[in-house]
Amino acid sequence: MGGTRDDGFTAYVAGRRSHLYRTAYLLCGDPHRAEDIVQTALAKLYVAWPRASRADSVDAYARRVIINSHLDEHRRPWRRESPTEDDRLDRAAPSGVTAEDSDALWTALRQLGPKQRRVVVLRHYWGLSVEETAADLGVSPGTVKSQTSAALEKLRTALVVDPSPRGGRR
Amino acid sequence: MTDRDDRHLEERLHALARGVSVPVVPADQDVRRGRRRLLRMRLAMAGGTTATLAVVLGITGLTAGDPSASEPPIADTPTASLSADPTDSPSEEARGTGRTRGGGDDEKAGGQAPPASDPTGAADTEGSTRLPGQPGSAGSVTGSVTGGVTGTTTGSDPEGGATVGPGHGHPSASDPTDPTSAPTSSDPTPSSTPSSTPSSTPSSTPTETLPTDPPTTPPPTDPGTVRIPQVLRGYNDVLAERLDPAREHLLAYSRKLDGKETTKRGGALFALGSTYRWDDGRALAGLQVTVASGWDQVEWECGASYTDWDCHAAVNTGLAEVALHDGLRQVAVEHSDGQVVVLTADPTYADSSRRAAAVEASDEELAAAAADHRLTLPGQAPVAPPRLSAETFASAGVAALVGTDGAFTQTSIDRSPEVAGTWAVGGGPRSALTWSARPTYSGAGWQCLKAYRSCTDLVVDADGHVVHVAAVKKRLGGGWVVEYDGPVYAVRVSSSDPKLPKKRAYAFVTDGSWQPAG
Repeated sequence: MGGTRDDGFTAYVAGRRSHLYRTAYLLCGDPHRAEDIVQTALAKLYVAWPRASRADSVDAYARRVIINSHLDEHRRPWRRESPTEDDRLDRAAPSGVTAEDSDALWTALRQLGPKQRRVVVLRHYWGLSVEETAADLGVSPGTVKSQTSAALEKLRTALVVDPSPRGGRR
Repeated sequence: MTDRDDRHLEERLHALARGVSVPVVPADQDVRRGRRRLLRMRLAMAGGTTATLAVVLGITGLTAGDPSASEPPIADTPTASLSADPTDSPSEEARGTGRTRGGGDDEKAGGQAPPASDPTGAADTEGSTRLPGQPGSAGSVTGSVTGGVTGTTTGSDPEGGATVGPGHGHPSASDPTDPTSAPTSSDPTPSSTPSSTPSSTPSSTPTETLPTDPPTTPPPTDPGTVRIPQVLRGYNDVLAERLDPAREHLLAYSRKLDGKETTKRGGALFALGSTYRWDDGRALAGLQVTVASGWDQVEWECGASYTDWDCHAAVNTGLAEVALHDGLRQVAVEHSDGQVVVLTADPTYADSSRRAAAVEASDEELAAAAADHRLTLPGQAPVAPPRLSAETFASAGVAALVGTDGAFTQTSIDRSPEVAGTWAVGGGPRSALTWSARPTYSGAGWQCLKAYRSCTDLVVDADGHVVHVAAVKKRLGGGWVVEYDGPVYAVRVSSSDPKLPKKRAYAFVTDGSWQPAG
């Protein structure tokens, strides 16, 4: 826990934490869970910092930790409760995305399975290639292609139903 | 999906992500969480390792049927026990055989003289045979054997020395009638091997079991690996062979009780010694041995004008010098390689004893023991330069520094050599004048001290000799210091009167006579 580790890690977190948080948010759709995932992932990253910082890309390492942390989070028993539509229950805090902007896409994303959602996030949010995505997820490129195809097929339906462009926010 | 649809999806994904309000979390919080996780992992690993080790040891103990068989400390005991076992022959000790006999030795000695088990403390009390803490410290470095001894072989014939003890070389295993063999411990089951223990009398004292062969193995001097305890054990064996062949008095070297005294500089060993226990039957005396690279590494005040040491040459040897002071008896011998061996008989070794014990050896026997060529520094020992004659150095200094217009009153001189006195002109004292030479092999050399107002280097002659010149601050006495760091000696002159011409000092310090060839 020397100064070198802390300095490098702090600099990385300061620059990339928001990006990692958004990735986690896209994966899980819940800001609180996203924060949990990011905190867990960054703690793991801190432990592995000497090795990760020597790697070619700390981002790649952090991305994989985020993905795996999300997977671990998803596998936990208390995450296995069924979703409910009961409005009386507490809901996640507003994420800052307006309902108009997020509803269609977010509805489409929620309809995807976890694996397909991860593929979509890595390929279309991180902009990774098939091979990079396969390496991150530890699957074959063919699996990535098939899951991408299936995910986009589902998204296409949602986007066709609600084709209104949302790019004006940029 | 088409490429346009792909881009559209990416744009909306990014828009969705940008719309997420990211909580502001300071990075140091993530650092703290990471540290805690790291600590937990390390604690878990340590706990797991400890648990695994405990399980393995437990299983091993159960499998062996004897739980004590798995106690780790047993593996550590042979070294200490071995070093204190007088029955071990040197060759066996050199091989490091893991015998565990001789525990009674340590127990007996420790019980008799607990305070004396710290030789360092004892030496501090005596204050006379301690090696200087800093090699080359000129103030405490004095001494040389009288002129006839200088540079000569000590005449210690190792073969002749070995003849000292033939009569005792193969002593009986033990002598029940020997008063010194009276057991101080009533332990009827000594740990000694049965072959060396008489069946008629229980023997557990170190003086009862004697070596079957005279300890003739010289101390290990392999330059590759120097094992100090083995060397000190070898010194002990040599002294026993010379002074106590029957091993009735000189107890075997114990790493725990006898300790070691070393002077090191830059990885080189300049002096090595220890204080062994000499048991006269009722109390313990100390027999200290110091092997040094040269006279500058031992405190030897014989020949100094300021000492109250009673010094004389050992009778019939002419090779050694004996000093009596502070209740101690010391013998110093310079070997042919320049190394100096000092033996000190200390009757007040055991502070707890009500009576003083004496090392029952004559000056001549001590001198012969000190001259034994096996008492040498191990490994590649530093080589001291030939000594300078203090008298010659003093007279040359007077001739060169005082001049015809002044007078010099010498106040002190020692064999380091260092001369001090008062320079006077016209009957009035003008300056405190000193000059000295210190061997450079042990680190002597120029240092521009804070006491100096200025330091300069001057080339003082056509040969290119560079001399260091410093002006001493007035509040510290003023004057100047001139020093020349030659290849063998650093020669220095200091005067408290700045008017004493430095040129006289330049010529004196660069004189080639003070740089004798090795």
